[in-house]
Amino acid sequence: MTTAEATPGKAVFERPHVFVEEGTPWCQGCGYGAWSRIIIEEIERANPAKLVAAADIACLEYMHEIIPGDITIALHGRSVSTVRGMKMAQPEAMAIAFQGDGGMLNEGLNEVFHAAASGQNVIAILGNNGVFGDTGGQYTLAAPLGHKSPTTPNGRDAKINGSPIPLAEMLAMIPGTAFVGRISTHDPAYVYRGQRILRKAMEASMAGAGFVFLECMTTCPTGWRMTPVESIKYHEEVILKEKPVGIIKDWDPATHPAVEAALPKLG
Amino acid sequence: MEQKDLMFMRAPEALVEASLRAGCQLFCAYPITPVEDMAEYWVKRCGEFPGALPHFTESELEGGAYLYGFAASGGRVAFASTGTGISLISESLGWIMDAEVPCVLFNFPRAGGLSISQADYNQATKAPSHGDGKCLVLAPMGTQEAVDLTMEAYYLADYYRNPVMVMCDYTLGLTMEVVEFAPMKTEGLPPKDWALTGDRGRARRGGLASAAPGGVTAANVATGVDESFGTMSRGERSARRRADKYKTFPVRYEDFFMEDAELAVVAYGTMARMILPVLKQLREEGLKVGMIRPITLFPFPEEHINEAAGRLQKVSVFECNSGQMVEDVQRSVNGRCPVEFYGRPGGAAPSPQEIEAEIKRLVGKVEVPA
Ligand SMILES: Cc1ncc(C[n+]2csc(CCOP(=O)(O)OP(=O)(O)O)c2C)c(N)n1
Ligand code: SF4
Repeated sequence: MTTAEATPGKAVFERPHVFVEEGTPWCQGCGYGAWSRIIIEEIERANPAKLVAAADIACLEYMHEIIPGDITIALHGRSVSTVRGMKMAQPEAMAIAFQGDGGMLNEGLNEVFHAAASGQNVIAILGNNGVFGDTGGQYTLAAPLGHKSPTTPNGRDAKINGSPIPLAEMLAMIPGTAFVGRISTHDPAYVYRGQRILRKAMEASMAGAGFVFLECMTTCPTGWRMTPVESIKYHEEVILKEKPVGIIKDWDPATHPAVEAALPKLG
Repeated sequence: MEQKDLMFMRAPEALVEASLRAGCQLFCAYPITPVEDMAEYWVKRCGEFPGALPHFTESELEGGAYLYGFAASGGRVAFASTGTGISLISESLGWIMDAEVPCVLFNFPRAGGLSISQADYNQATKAPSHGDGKCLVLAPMGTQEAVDLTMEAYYLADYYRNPVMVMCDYTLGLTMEVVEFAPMKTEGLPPKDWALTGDRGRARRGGLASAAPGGVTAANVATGVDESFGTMSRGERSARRRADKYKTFPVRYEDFFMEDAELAVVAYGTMARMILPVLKQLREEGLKVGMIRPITLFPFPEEHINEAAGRLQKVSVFECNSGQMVEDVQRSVNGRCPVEFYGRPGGAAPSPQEIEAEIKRLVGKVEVPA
């Protein structure tokens, strides 16, 4: 455990206590570790009495090792609808789906739209690294044009590979969506900002406002065939240029009113 | 609406009524004939059953995911379709069987178009999904039996923590009969202490991070990443345990005129129902013919058929397909007597005259067509 100490014996920074594993299961330099940490911290802050979650078969599936609640692995592309099923059975639970961009934009695209349309109070988290990380870095429909991958050796070409889908912006247009945000956690300033956006997302969900969507822009040095340092440069210079972080649709209680004590807190 | 116990209704609606009475809370039915009637009936009636949700399933793939998620979190759930929809949720069914999550499936196989078919027998009994999993498959012969088996299906699903399929067919889907609803049996059902309720107050059990608070429970132990367990991996251990569980599924069948029969017809579902009156008539004519009707298609009444075959001169399998259950019958008879096959694929069904002519041919009494 890494603990920074200001004065002897007084911890000023430590791992969230629910973060049970010694390390994260992902590759060195993988972006998932950083944002999974702030998710756990914000779960601790929101402290729902019940938490159900599903994570797609993907690199992201290792969320099941660290999320402090009842989490199951779902089929590739099916986390959002799996969690919607869990939430229907446990309406008082905070419900979170974790999906990679392969799972969400390629395999299961229709269901995230249906989830948004339903306005069901679930949080869908997209871990967007532009590639199928788990199967070796082939591009997904989220990859920027020009992105080089084993299946786009000369870079993604719209004529051959189609163009990227602006999912977050499209979901924001759907009335059932209460909140849409995009974050990155590749450096401390982004972590700070991302955590505040995430907190708003959690607040909307705790209030029962409706469908909440959070896109977490993530580095995948292994899939991108880069060193962690190169991947951060590429992330800043290419990926985030097209997908700037921020709140895309802020929660407006006038249109998405809070439901009285929607999600009870753990006492 | 008062809870009438005797109703005159179409089979698909009767099965929804039975589901509501059995405490089903989510009914995943996507429009495909005759299943749209089930979706409509559910939405119309569910308000009168506390806990039953008026949700209308957006697509079959989502229906498959709801089956898993809803049941994994402790709810009672069903899915209804034809073989087409079963094909679509097949991947989810594999997941559900591996994770040992209970649910009920209603299947109304059709032959491409709108007609009777038993062409989805192999899909239901052999390979409802990729992998080694099995569904318990119940095949009713009429509306009343379908209602009774539906009530039981919810019980068996919970008891075995496994999908249970009520295998109907398109003809049954169009049948309208008087049905009676008995209360569902619930004795002996264990509490769903494995369910992913989300409760953060309790200890995290099993799973990959067994020390963590919260709960990775059995639902993802089976589907999660494999861990070594002595010489046998966790995956092998749980697969073997599931295979042993399938062996304990109850076998059920019904015999007609089998005491002194020399020829036995084997048929299930509507095909058996079509044969029955012909059989009665041939018995009156003095022909020693009987019928074995499997009620569970998986597990198959293998031992019973084998034992009967020792006393028979011939067995013939009647199916509305090109020959599927006949393989199970051959396997069961295991050489003890000849096995013949009479199949009507592609949406066809035999007339009583054709059934009679075929049985007479089998017993050596050739009927000259008029
Ligand atoms: C039906 C199905 N098709 C394909 C796969 C293989 N598969 C496993 S993980 C994966 C890629 C996941 O990529 P993504 O969703 O972007 O998540 P990441 O690995 O990048 O976290 C694929 C295609 C699968 N498990 N199931
Ligand atoms: S392959 Fe990519 S997404 Fe997967 S763990 Fe490694 S760096 Fe992370």
